[in-house]
Amino acid sequence: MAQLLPGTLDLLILKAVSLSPAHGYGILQRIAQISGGALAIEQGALYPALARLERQRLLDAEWGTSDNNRAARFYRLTPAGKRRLREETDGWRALVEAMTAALAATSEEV
Amino acid sequence: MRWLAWLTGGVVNRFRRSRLDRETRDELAFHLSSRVRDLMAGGMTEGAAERQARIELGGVERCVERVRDARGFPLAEEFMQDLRHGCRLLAKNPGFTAVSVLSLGLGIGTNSAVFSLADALLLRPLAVRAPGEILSISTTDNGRSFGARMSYLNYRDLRDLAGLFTGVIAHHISAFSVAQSATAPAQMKLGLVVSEDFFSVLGVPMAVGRGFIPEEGRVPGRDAVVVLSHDLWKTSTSGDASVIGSQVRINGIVFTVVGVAGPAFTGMDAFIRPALYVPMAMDTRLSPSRRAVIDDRGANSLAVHGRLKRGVSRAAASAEMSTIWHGLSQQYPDANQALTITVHSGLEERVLESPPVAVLVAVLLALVSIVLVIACANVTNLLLGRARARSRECAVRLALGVSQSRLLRQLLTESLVLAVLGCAAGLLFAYGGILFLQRFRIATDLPLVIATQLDARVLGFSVVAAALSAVLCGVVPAWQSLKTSVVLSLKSGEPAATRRSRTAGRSVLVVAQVALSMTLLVAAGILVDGFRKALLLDPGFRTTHLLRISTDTSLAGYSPEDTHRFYRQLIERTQEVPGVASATLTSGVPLEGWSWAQPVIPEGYRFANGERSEAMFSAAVDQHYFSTMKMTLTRGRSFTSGDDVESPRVAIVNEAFATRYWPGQNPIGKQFRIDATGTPWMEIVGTTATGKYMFIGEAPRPFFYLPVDQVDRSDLTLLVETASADASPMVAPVRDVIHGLNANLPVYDAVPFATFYEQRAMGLPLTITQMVAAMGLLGLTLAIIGLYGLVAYSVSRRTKEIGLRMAIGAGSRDVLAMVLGQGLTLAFVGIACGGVASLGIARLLSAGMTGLGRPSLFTYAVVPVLLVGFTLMASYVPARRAARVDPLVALRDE
Repeated sequence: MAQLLPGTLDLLILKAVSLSPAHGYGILQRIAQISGGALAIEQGALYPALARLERQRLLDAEWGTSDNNRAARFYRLTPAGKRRLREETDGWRALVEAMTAALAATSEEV
Repeated sequence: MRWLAWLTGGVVNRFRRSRLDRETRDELAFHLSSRVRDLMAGGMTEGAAERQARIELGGVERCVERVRDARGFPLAEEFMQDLRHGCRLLAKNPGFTAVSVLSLGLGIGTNSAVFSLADALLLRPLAVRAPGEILSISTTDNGRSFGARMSYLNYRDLRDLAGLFTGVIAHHISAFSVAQSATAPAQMKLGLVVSEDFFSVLGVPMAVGRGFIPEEGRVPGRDAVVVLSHDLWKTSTSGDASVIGSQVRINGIVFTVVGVAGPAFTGMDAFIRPALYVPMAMDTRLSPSRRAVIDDRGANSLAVHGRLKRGVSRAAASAEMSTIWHGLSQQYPDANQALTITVHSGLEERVLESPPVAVLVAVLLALVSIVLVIACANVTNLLLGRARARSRECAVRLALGVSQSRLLRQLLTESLVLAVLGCAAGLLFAYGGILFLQRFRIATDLPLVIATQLDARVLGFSVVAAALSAVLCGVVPAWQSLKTSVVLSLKSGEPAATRRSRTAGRSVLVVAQVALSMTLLVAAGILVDGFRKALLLDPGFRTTHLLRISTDTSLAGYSPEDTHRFYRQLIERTQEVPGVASATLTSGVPLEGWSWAQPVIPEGYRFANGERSEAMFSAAVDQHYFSTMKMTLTRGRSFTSGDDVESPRVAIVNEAFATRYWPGQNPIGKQFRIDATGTPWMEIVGTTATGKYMFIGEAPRPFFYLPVDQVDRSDLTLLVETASADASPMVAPVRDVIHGLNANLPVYDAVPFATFYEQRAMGLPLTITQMVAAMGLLGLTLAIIGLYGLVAYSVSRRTKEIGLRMAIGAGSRDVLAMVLGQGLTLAFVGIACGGVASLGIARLLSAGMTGLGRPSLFTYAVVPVLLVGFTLMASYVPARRAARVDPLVALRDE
């Protein structure tokens, strides 16, 4: 399993929540699922990250009932969160392309 | 109101915290149970699964803490942090802190002191329930008489017809002879004669007892009840609750005390404090001469106020009054047709009553706010000087991920700390200033008070001034630090562009300071010069070798015939007293601050606005007045003993009066009469030089004199010319003469005229002159401190450059000249700007205060010289330091 780059946790959370509103544990499972189990999230880091995103008004939270009929806190994206996700995704793609190009460079190209 | 949300947000967050933590725990519990379920589905035992889940989460409590941190600091904690940080910084720079706090303290302090004076003179509202609802209702005759007045009959009708007011009250002020018992000596006291609903409508808090009740207004002359003022209660009676039910003799009638007004309520006037209140039903019994006034719908003698019903607008009230008045005018055209009715707020009423006071207050407040601006500019300047150091710190913190708004808050918190310290220092200065103002007293037995005090209003004003200065001097430097720090976070050195613009910004500030202090000094110069001229000017009458003593025969129930006989005897007997050179009687003493206003109709004169008459100040005097007072008669004759009730009516007018109505003509033989039914024409038999009548700084005003024997006045002042310059030893013998004629007659204001003149004529102008001069000097000092700061700062920044110049041959003399030149350039630009502003101020001042006369060129010449002199002194210190720079040390030092 690959370690997360700094700053990517927020992006992953936004992505996971953007698919459908989810509670904390659901977000963990969803990230594991959409990354094919390749990305490991430190469970203790998730909740502070959610609180931070909530403070930045990228996420909204409210109490609801989970599948097994227990009270759980559900997160959903705010309009600002959607915008941020779009921007970060674009930024990430640009970075990946640039990094890929840079790493693929051969001695002739220099 | 965002700052309020910002402040309270912190407090709210603190209360929210425990709730938020509980929520986090609930959320984590759900997480753990879900995880345990999944792990057990994978085949783990329950115990192992629980342990595993906890390990993965890294401990519930630790997680709660991290979530709390991530939620962000509660604002209150952040604020406390900033506060501590700010205080630490200030403690580390004691010089900076001292100058800033001193600057702000002086600025805020002078503002608070002047505000307390303005409050006492004009601004303070009545000490009653909801003073904003109280409106004054008055009838005006477009300047034919002074003051807001209404006749008793009109008042009764208005009160019964007014629907938008919860009550309409009336009062008038009157002098009474007050004694504790039949045998005790009587004293002259001022009292308010009030409608019986006065206390209930105003909502005056009572110290003990009650106000008047409706029953006490029903039968004229029946209910002899009195409410005492708090002052009288404390000074003249027992001062405890047993005063209720006790008896007081007023004008010889026994009154029962039913209540004492609360300490805050000192009557309806800013200056005159009545000692007691009696119901209007007792009016004619106390003063039988009031009968004629009460029954005459045209005799306007009452001040009327109404309390608006909740939610009623002033416009609606005004419209209602106009409608009622329209009806009353048609019903009683003789008395009312010439009058119009107006409704004013308390402040408007006070402004209208004394426009010169309003102008004075406005001028003082404007000048003193300039002092605060100069003080704030000083602090801004100092903060800007530190902005370089601060922008490093800010850059570091920005790089560490602190948000800009958070940093801005922190920087503003620092100037807030400065402002709070400045406010505290300011209150100390204000206290000193108010003590200085309280020194000012008028030598009269009447309870005249200019009540400057350090009260909640002054405190509130100071806090507002401090908050304002915190923002005023904090915003720009904070913004500067932030702006440059963004650049700095990438570079280690300060970019050249910002350096130049920063010094330029500081130069603009210093130039503004110099300009403002120049304006302030010119204004102060004009005021001081004007008052000085007025004070040095011969007031036009004798001020030494003179004694004044007053009495009022109506307080002992004299008839007009008795009164004439009494005063004739008084003059004869006084002249026999050894040490008395001459004696005279007058209804008014010059410079007392009020006078007898009578509407005059000059023969053959047409008023521009179509009016019939115009109010003029006057006095009734006897035949000795002009010689005893050493007043010059310019034409004609003085009054004689022959000018009495039997003989033709005569008058003496001053030159201003003569030129107003008969310019270029000989006024002797001209006639005028008082605008009232059945008054005879009076022939002018003499003129006097125009002197000073109301106050010393006044513009020349028309004035006329009538023979005392041809008018009915029971209250007269005896002016006694004494052989010795100091008249005080003669007070007792002259008082004995009055008491020899009637032992029960109250005697008041018995003082040497010189004492009265000094306090009345010199006191207030001198106080104001000193105050304005102090403001000017303060402004100058603050501006010079600012200038010194900037020059010193730039010298310290340019040490290397100066070293280089010296290394390539510049002498210390050149360096000295260069630095002095920098200071002088600032001063000259400031003086040029200030000169333009001063011209505007001078025009405003001479328009507002006509008594000042033309501002002399002297002020305009002296102020710039003064500024340049101080600039040289302030620049010399850093210039010396610059000239002593050792090029070797300066260039090595990098």
